[in-house]
Amino acid sequence: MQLELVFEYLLVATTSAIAFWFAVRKLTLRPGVLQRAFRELLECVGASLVFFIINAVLGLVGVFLIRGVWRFLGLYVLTGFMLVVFSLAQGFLFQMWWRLSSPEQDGPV
Amino acid sequence: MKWNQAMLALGTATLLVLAVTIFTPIVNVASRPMLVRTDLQPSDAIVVLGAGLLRDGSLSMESTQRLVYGIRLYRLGLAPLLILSGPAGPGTVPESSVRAKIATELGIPPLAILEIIHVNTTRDEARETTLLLQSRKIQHVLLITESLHMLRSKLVFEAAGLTVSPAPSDDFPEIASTAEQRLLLLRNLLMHSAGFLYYRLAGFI
Repeated sequence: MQLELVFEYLLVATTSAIAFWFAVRKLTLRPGVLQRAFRELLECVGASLVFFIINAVLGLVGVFLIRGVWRFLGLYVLTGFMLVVFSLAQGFLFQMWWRLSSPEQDGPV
Repeated sequence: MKWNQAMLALGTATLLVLAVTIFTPIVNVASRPMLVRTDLQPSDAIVVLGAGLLRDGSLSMESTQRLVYGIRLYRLGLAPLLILSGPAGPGTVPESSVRAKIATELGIPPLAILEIIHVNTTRDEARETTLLLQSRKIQHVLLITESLHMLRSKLVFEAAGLTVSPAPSDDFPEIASTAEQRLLLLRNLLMHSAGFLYYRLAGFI
């Protein structure tokens, strides 16, 4: 396997291992909580997918509406990677808001 | 809690699909039904479909790649005409004119170049090309566009009454092998599959 192809993965694996060691040994974080954090990460990704689908569908409707009443707009406006980035931001923000607003999150701050 | 469980399932599925897309050639294989075999034949004209301008009026990478391939095929003597397509962007000259200038600078005789300017879609390009060629009583074209766009383009040009020999300007679905390339390929596959489906449903092909 070419080093060029796997270098990024090796780098991220190394920094993840260092961060885990540092968090457990120096910051005394509990390893068991990491699983819950990963679960919440997956929920945020799921919410981002929902936002992406909503953005894509509404975007399609918007493009055809603009074509119908104003001027030509290519469907390519919906194919940029920024739509994914914005959907991720929307999904993460909404999911964290949802979580922090749920009753079991209430308590002394 | 139902919402959280649903998001957990969706998120898990998303990351799994992403991992399979990045680490296996599944998206390369999934692209194959959209590909059309190259068929380089002597034709009446080479048609280079538009691919957009950058904000400063220069050609996009895709547009440049298609143009260079068109010029190469012209210089191989596969057709006596080079038809360059592409509308103007906001405040720019038409893509077809930018391409024509470059083609002329690279040695293509100006009289061998025809421009198609007032087009927004592949279907527009097919209609305008047909009108242009009908007046010259010719109909066999060598069609140049990106590989994943070729199937829809070929069918819509044939529906417009032309005989088409496909000449895809890239081999990206076969060669994409890094994570970024496969993600880009996935994006392009979804985009062109949606375009194909739209043209089918609308009855254009």
